[in-house]
Amino acid sequence: MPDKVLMKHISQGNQAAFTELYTRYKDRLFYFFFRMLGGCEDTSNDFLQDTFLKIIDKPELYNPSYPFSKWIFSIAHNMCKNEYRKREVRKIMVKEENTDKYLDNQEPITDTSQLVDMAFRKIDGLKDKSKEVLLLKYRENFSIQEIAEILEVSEGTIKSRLHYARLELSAIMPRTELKGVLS
Amino acid sequence: MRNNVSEKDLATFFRNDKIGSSPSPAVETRLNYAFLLKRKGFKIYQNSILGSFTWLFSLKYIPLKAAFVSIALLVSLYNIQQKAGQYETPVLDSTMINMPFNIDTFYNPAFNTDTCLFLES
Repeated sequence: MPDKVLMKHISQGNQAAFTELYTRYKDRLFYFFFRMLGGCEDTSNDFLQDTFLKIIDKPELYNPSYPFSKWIFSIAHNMCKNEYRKREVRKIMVKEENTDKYLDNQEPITDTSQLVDMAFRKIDGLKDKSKEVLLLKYRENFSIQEIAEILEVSEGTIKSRLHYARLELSAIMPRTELKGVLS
Repeated sequence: MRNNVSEKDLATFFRNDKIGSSPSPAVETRLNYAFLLKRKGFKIYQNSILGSFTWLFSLKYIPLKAAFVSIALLVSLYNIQQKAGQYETPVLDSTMINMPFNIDTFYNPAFNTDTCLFLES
């Protein structure tokens, strides 16, 4: 059953439809929050819950003429944006501390999972906008147009952000290193 | 030397990434409970007339509502026009009737279908 139909059932109070929709998107959203908010499991769970609470509270806000995945990721994007603002106000610099710790670590790492973890620590060091564009493009497989609509910016901006994100990533993690992670 | 990370590498890298943790089952439990509470509220809302009132006084379909009110107003104006005999109360009290009640219709005037004869009498 398409997401749109599930949303229609949810607005009519169908609990099975809600469970189905949650099952479809919980892992994708959890991953998005996990990577966007510094890899904290508790925070990711809280944000996942808040996203679906918004759907429960106001399912009528969803416009069926747009794809549901785009809508839910635009909610997730706005939540992350608000969180960044809050963190800016509170001056929480956890992200930088973690990145520095890993970047300074000069011990050779051989385990693949550790290599992937280290690579993502480096990605955490990217600008939030770059990281978000990379996640939506390469993890979620959204098109440039869809990402532009989710982030409410022009397609040109997205292309530019992707270009700079790749450059930024190449600077902190050369291709050879990435190949090592992938192998 | 070109050292840029390729699109293909990035796609493989992100798709193969495992974060090693999954959403807590407690989140689903809490959400299901929240949905249950919302659904309960939804049923009460459905049985109330609040929705109809909200629609009635909302700004939606204003031309349609205005047309309906205009028609209703016109009909009501037409209906209050006085008509002959509109306010006369039919009398059921037989004491007010002076004409004797004749069972024998022999004494009754002849029933003339030709109304021209009324003029002669």
